Amino acid sequence: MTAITSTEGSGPVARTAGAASRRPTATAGPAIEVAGLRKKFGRVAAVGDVSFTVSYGRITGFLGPNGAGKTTTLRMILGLIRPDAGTAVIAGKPYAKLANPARTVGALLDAAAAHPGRSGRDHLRVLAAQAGIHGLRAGQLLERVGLADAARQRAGRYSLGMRQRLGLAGALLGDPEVLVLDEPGNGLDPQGIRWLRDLLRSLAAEGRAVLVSSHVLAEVAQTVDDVVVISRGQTITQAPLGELLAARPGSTLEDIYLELTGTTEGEPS
Amino acid sequence: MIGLLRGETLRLATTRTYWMLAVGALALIAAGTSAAAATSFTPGTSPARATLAIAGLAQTVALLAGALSVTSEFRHKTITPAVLITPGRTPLLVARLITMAAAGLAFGLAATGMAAAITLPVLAARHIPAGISGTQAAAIIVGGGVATALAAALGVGAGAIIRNQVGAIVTVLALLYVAEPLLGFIPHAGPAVQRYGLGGLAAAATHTTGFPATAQLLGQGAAVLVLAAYTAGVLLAGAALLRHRDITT
Repeated sequence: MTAITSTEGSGPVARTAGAASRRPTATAGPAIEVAGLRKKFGRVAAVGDVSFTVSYGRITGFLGPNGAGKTTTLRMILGLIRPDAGTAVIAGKPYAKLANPARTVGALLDAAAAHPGRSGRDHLRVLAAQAGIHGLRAGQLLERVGLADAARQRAGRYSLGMRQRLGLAGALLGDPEVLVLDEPGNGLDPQGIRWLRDLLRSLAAEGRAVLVSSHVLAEVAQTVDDVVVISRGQTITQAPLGELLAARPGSTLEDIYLELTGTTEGEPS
Repeated sequence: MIGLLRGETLRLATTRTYWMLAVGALALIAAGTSAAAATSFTPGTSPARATLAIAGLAQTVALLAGALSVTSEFRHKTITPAVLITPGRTPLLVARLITMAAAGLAFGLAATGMAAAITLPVLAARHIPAGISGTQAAAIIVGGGVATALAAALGVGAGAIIRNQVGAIVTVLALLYVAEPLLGFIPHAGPAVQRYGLGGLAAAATHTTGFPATAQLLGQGAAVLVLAAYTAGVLLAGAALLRHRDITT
């Protein structure tokens, strides 16, 4: 695979310092490499041409208006949706070829993805058993995401923020080196947002790659190292956040985003 | 596969819906067989076989539970984490099939055994000959277990094809209780529907009476084989669709 973006060799960033300790040498390439992905649903082109890379030890923000193709792209990376063209590899392999996917990649795509009649703890225990992970880890993770008190409560009674935390626990189940999170901040209160930011930073500091989509640009600006912007199914830009901001002195990430996506109104959702 | 089976067993055990369905069905079968054995008598056929046909409700419930085990994953979006852990998808369906069929076997044995344990003493107390031997009673109970296991497996396949929960349930119920009984009245074709339709096959596989009670059914072994062939066909189609369809929820 050849490098396809301009960020290769774009200079060291302080936060990558501790990264090498965790990253296995066998996966020294990009954590995620997406090249020329395309997907149509019927006659609607959901993704037209998306390419970017995600590096270990960094948080990559995946931004774009509603309907830009973010979720479809994330699902293609994870092998849930079959692309019409293009490739997506994680640690050098297509998702379906990963030897132990749950231990390589953790994903949160939809906070509501739990049976409402099952407790949060049982939800995680089912996933752990399927992935061959010891059930005790379910309890540890519920503690880590702040759900220990609600572990035995039915997931149907959880608030949106609690379901996000449960989804994050599910993503962390296999102690993965790559995380793919679709709007994980949805429904979190300010304490939750702060907690999530710290969590993502600590995960990246451990050398893991984090790809996170979001609409909350002020939050993204405080959290991410790299930015990928897509619009109408196409990659508009990929660059380190610092570089983007330095190139337009006085602009905020929001200004730059709105300029790049070509609208101050946003796409209708 | 061992991990998948452990996960499936845990999923089944921690979902109240299945327990409520099982308990509800057992209560209905107990009430139905008690009432039928205590009051009715169908001339020209074995009263025990006609009464034990009520335990066939177990197969309908198992069919629905099998379908629910797949459609609820799409409804509650848990199909996404499940497929992320098992990207090959087919092993997931195989593990679910094994788990649901095993649960169906236990449930079918319990339902039919309970029905026999109610029916035979009640008929004896009324001095009505049951019309079946002890071996035949055993064949009915074992047949009830096997047919219910196959029904659960068939449901898993049906759920993989029709992912929409309401759509799957309505289709299954319409086929069983509307299409098959109506098609059974078509001249010439009717007897074949009564014989090879799901209702007739389940009745033959459990060695009970079909609908109508005069329907000419297959032998028990042949009915189990045909039912197993249907189940295999539906499961293969379901597995192919599960493997190829995009998972967007």
